[in-house]
Amino acid sequence: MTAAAGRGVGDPGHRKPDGRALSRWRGQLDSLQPRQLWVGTLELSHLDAAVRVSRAGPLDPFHRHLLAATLTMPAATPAALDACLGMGPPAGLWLDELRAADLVRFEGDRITVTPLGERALAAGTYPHPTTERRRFTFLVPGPHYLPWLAPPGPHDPSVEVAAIDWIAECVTRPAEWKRRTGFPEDVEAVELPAADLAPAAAWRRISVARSERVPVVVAVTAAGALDAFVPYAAGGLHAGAPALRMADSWREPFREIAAAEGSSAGEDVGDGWRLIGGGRLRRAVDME
Amino acid sequence: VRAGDAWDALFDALPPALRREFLDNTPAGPLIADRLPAVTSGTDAGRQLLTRLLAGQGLDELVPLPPDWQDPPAQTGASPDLDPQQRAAVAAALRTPDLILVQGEPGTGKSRVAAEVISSAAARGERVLLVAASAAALDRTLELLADRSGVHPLRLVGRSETNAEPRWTLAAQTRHWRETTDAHARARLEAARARCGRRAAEAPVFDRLADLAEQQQRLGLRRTELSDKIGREEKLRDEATSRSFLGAVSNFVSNLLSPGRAARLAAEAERRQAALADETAALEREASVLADKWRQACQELATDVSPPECLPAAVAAAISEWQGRRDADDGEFAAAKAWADALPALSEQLPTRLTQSANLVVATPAALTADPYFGATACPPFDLLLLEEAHEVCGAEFLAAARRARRWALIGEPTPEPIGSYRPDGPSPPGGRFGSPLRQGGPGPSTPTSLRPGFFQRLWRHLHWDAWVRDGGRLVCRLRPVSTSQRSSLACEPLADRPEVELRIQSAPDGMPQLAEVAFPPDIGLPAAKAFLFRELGEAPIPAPCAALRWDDSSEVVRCTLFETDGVAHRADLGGGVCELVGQRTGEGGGGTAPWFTTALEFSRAAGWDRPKADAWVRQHVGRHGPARTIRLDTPHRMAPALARIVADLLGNGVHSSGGPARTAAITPDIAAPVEFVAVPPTERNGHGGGSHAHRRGGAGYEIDLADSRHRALLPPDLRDGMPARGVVNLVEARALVERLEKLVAERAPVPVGVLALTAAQATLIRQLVARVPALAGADVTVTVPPALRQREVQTLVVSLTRSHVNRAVFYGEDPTWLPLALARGRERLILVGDPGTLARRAQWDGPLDHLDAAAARREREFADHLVGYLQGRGRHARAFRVLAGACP
Repeated sequence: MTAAAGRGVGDPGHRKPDGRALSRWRGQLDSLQPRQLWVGTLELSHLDAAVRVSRAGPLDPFHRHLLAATLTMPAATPAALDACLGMGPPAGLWLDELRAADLVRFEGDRITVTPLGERALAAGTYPHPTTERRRFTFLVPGPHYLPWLAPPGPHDPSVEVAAIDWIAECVTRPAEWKRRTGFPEDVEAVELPAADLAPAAAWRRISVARSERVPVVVAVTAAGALDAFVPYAAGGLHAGAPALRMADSWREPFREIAAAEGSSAGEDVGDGWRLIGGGRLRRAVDME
Repeated sequence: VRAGDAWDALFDALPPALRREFLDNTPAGPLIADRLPAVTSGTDAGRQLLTRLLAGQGLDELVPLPPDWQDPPAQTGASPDLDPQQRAAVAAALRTPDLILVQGEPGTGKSRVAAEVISSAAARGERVLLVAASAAALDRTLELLADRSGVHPLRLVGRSETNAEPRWTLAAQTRHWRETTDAHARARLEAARARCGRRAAEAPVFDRLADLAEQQQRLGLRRTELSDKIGREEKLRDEATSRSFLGAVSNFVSNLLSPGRAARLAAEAERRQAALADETAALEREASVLADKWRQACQELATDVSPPECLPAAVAAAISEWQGRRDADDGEFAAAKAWADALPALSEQLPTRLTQSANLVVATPAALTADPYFGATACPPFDLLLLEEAHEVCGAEFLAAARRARRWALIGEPTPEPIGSYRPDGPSPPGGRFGSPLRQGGPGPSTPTSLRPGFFQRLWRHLHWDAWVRDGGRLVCRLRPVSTSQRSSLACEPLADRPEVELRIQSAPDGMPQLAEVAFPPDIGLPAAKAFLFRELGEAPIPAPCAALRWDDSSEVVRCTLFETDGVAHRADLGGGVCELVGQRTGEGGGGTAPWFTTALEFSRAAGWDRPKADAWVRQHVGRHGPARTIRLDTPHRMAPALARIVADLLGNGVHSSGGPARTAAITPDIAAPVEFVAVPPTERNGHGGGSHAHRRGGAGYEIDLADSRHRALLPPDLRDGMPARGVVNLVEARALVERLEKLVAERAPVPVGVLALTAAQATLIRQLVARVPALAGADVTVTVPPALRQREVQTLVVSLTRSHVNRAVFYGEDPTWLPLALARGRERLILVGDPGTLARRAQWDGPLDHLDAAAARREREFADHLVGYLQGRGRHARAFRVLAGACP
């Protein structure tokens, strides 16, 4: 059985799939032991944004010795530190780096080690605050955050565009929600452009939105998880590379799947398959 | 998804104008992906733009600076004592999306601007690449940055740099670590080890002290017991010798009953007293021994430990304190050991660490190219390239440095079109291009343009926009920049009702014609032309001011000052109650700038203007035309104001702010004539004293061409031997100069004193003469040529103009830059020594001269003309100028 290439049989977002395509997908997803198979179209909005994250990293050796010396000095000043370590001009550079990482604090000319600095010195590691560009995908309307893995397609202007506030709102949610939905827990804040930033730094903070209407094949596995796949042009699926994998938090964004348990009416699409429901997703029921 | 690198690469690939547009238009909301242009990865759009600009194109790709570009970012903390133009230059360098050109004569604070830009950029977290033609300029800027926090320079040293290695080089810092830091760490470790050893030795001392304190305590108890015993014994004795009646009776009775009892009792009492005395003495001896032992033990303690009281509790407290110190010493020893142990590995990492962390990399073009890290294409791009001495850097060097940065700020001096910029197909100037005996080097005619200095001036002329210029005798208003390549395609149309006014129309890329220029007939003056343009076309093109606008309200007008000047301003009535005040520079303006500039706008209240309406008018018309990528520094900062005015006048830069910053207040105020001219021969003798006596048209002919053996023979043999084979000298002038120098030293002229000769041979000659004058031995006098004083100044400056030709117009200085450079090296006094006749002849020659091209020759002629004017008492600041007669044969 060979599926047609391009839009058509293998493209559930644009045309109702026939029984052959369903059979093929069923075969490809067999290893997941899907309890239900859904096909349809999702409206997604991807947002590439600069976010502040903290990632534990080792304490720089130059920083470590400078911190240790600062900690043992009752009144550490740059001059006193230089007298102690004899580092010369580079000491100023490292003190600036320590201050930027909030490991030391300057009060006038006096330098004190912050609690974070003390912990870093004791542990040899500390959370490095950095700005990274990351992609956040939201299911619209909703919006619902999705840990979407597939690369986005071309922008579709007819689909709602995500707002920066959506990420900011997710950042404020409890850790339990983040773990459940797959929202990255290390994200501390969204970095927005500011007028007084240097151009290159401001550029790194510009967010880019890309919305799309993407065809999907959704499988509810035997374990109760939800896997979504984007069929490639030839109509097949990469069963080992789902675009979306949600263990148990899928019921909120995919309410129709949660609500449609047990429904059996539908339209015969041939090869012994029926499609149930309308809207963005339709359930495929194996008549056999 | 981490897409940071790709996103940065996109930034580099975007044309600067598009970057600016995205940055300005998407402050908070997301940018929709389909607005991003498709660009080829690895494209360096900025460099492509630069290449087009250097080729005289690309003006239409420059977007205006943001409206608030003059407001510096809050966190940069620019120094408050910058003058308005310097502040504008710093702000523009920080805010430009592509490039900015800053031009200023020597002494106008260019290095200061460079330092401020670097400091402010570093405060914004930017990495800066500082490049200059000379190491001296780089080190001067580094000096200015020495006390700035947050700036971490790394100086790259080229092979040709023979000076002592600067402090900020990788080699110097690495050597500092290898030698000083390592030695320091070992000394610290030894000191910590010794302290720990001493603390260890103190442990038994404290044990002894504790023991001694206990003994002392027991001794105290025994002393108390003994004291009690003595007390009891004294009581008994007192009872025995009691004189009471009953006592006496009792004793009497006892003696009767037992004869000799009293004697026995007395003997017994004496024995007990003796025993107590012995016991007391022993106790005291024991206490004395104990005290000796205590003192001895205390002496064994370190100086930072206070000897406790000889009490167990005090000793316990001291031991506790000592233990704390011991722990600290152990900790210090551990830290010192860890530091000393880690140093070899850290020293290995240091070069890489410094290379990657420096936020200011400083290099000459050659040093940058040769550096294995920063010269490589893989080096992350800098946010800003700051090119100092841009007038001395060639285009190829600039482009090589520019591709390493995203934005470019170029700082240089206004120079005439350089020697190498003549057209090969053009006519040779009189005397040949390089045929002068003074030319001993420089680029040859076959050197490609990109390898010659001069791109800065070309770029300045391309980017600098003056609304009103003279073009072939006609007054032309330029409404928008037209590049050289676009000029040929301008369509010229006469105005229908005034055919003598010509409209020059440009075809825009989108096909819509745009009015680019309006040319007026020669008989229309600037005020009338301005009024016509505003009345007929509603156009009042006024370039953006370098400083913030100043508003003054009076009952009659609302005045907006754009440019502070002490010169006279002409009024152009634009109509409707708006009047533009236009100032005029005394010379050409240098650097290709036009002679006019708008100083202020006045809005008549009688015509209904108020501040909000005037503000709206200014917003609509000021700074709306031109790329606004050039800033001129006009305020001399090194010189005393009176001296600065004359020097600016002589050099044809008649525009400068009258109020300098506070530092000029330190200049000695009691110098009546800060500029002197020592005439050799005296003006009376050669007829150049001015007025009707100006009958002679030539110099005294004192100059000697050393390459000519007959001329050379005119020098005394003892001087001749020390002179170079080539060059021009003027012995008569040199002697007059040395004589004046003697007087200057005798009258305690401000030091240091510098003597600059406009030929190297003349400097050699003056040095020989100075060495023969005992009064000048040990005086703080430097004799050299102008480039040797670049980046340096002297308080009193003496300039030997050297040239003295009988009848020919001759040029001054071995290089066209020497004369303006020399005049700007003095802070308080300037003494020019020269031949008035030769100057007068030079002032009369209008055209190319020897190796000077037309622009350089015109500039020099203007200098000569202005100087002759002063010699004849006609200078603008004649009261600050005096003429002295120099000795002559």
